[in-house]
Amino acid sequence: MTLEKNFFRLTSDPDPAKVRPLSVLRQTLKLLMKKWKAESNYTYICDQFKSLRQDLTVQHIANEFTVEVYEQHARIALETKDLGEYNQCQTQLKQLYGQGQPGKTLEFLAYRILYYVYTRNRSELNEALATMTETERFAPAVDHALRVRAAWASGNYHRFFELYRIAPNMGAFLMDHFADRERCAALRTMCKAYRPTIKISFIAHELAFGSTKKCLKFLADHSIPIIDTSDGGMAVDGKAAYPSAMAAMQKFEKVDIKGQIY
Amino acid sequence: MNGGLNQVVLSIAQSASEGFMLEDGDALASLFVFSDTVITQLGSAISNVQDFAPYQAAILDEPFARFTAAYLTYVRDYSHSDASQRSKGMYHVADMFIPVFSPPGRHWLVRVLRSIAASLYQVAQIEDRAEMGSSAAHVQAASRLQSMLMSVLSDRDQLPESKHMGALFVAGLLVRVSLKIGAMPPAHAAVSNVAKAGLDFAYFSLRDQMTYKYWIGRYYLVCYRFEAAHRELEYAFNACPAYHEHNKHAILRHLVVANMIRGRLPTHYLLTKYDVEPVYGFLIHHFRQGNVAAFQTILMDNMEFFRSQGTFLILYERTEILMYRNVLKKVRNILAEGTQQHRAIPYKHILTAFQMASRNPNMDVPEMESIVSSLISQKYVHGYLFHHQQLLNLGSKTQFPPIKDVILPGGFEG
Repeated sequence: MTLEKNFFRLTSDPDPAKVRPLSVLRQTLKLLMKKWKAESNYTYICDQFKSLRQDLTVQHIANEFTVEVYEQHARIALETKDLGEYNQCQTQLKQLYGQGQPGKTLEFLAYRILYYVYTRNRSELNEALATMTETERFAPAVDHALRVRAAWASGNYHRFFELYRIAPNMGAFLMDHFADRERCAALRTMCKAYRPTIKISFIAHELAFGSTKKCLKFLADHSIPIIDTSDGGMAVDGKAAYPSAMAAMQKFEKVDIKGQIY
Repeated sequence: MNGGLNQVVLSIAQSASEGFMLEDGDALASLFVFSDTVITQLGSAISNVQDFAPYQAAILDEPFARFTAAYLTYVRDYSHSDASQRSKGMYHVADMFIPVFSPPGRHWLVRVLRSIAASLYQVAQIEDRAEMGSSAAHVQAASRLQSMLMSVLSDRDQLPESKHMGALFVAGLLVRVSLKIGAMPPAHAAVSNVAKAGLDFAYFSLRDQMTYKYWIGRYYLVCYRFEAAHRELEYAFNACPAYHEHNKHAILRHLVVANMIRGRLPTHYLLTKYDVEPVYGFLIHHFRQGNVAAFQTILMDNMEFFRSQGTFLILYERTEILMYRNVLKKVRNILAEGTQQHRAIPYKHILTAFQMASRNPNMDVPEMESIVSSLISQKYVHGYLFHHQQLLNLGSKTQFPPIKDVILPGGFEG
């Protein structure tokens, strides 16, 4: 039996001859991880993972291997910014962990909290907090995610972007999805509060752009006017830029991915 | 003629048929009872009946006959069923009742509807508790309650002779289930459908109004619509009779939170009168003092309690910024002593105060600026930051507007 198989959505009972048994699926996972490292072809790898997951589902296999498959697929989806696929894996993982299957529960709990920050889903955040044990709460990755949530909730952009810089595991990939939204929110706040001007170097540092060039591109992309300062530098005029900063933030008022917002 | 038939079942079937034909809702509500004691007693009297089909013949209306059979089956099996089987039986009763209730002009069945809705919630609660905190049964119950609410609200008859009379009760239960399972869509739908129906609340009993207001107050609180939460919870609190001390206490727990976020703090007398947990008093004290660290320590120490109330995140997320506002106001007041106004506050004073309030000596100027700019942006403070001069320049008029007057971002004001 071949290790690889393309994904087809089932519309009738699966053909047993085409379903790979667990022993084959274990080899498939090894092969897929090897190929991902070598080729990084996401279209191929995602299709193969979906087919792998389907074979597990039709055989009702829910064990530590199933967890590993979903975890690996979730990580790859995060790396490739495929949040839809990541969310599917996350939902399955939540169920599997709930059934007592062992896995990287703390790492994925942290991602889940960050994901809820992205979707601004307070009820799920409440639920995650309600079901969290003391051990989970103080695990480094979970603690980081909770601090991100607290900084985000209180509008403390300085702390938020400090935490963005030091996100453990693949948390930064997830935070990438809402970093620009939070940059716009922070920029709106800064434009409202600072007078007369805010230096570009200061904005670049505070909002974790990594370089002034990236910061300038971001500001240009959002039509934020930039002025030259008397000392030869560049700055944003808070009062003049505020309407543009407001308009930039409005683009993020809705999240276009499955996730409850209220 | 009736030889071999169970006389109790026969009598129930005949009474049900009569009540249905006479459209006697009160009689039917007395017949279809779901209390534990009654069901257990009745169940033992009909335990030998295998099939209720022969008794259904006494009832002419087919959907009603099916509903009666479903009820009798539920009653018969109740005492030897586990929590999961009881819920399934109750779901079946509810499913059989909806076609009975749906045709126009059946407003007289509202009392039966209320009994079924209440029982649905109870069995779901018991099953999920038995399943160690699962929410599956609540989800099932919510789906039936939603169908009931749709049926109630789609009635074209006018109050009081209308199925609308069951709306607040069912919608309140639905919101309660939503809050319990932390899934808001059923509550969103219930609240918005009741609002769209434009019901005249004066037709409803005070109990229905108060209960509904309490649950939607809690719903608004979770949705961060604090003014709306304040409005509904305050109504519920004032409408609740003084002798219902337990209810007053439950409402106050949430009203205190809704009000705190809007800068309205209760008196010590009020908290003592209704025996509100001392932890609220401590939180209010530290909130007033601007003691961020002490406030958050108490909150974390009582995390389980506040999580059970659904107010942990709200308190954690929304109070910090307000306490920094209070700290900043104190700094201004100290600096303004002896002068009429003090408009320019050096960063160093703000930083020292914030470090003390948060018990975080590592807080630096950029973090302090980030907090103050959030306060300015959210209009809790009127003024501007002058980064180069390391100064906060406060506005010439209202520098610290009352919290209750500040419109929260994202429409959270309610």
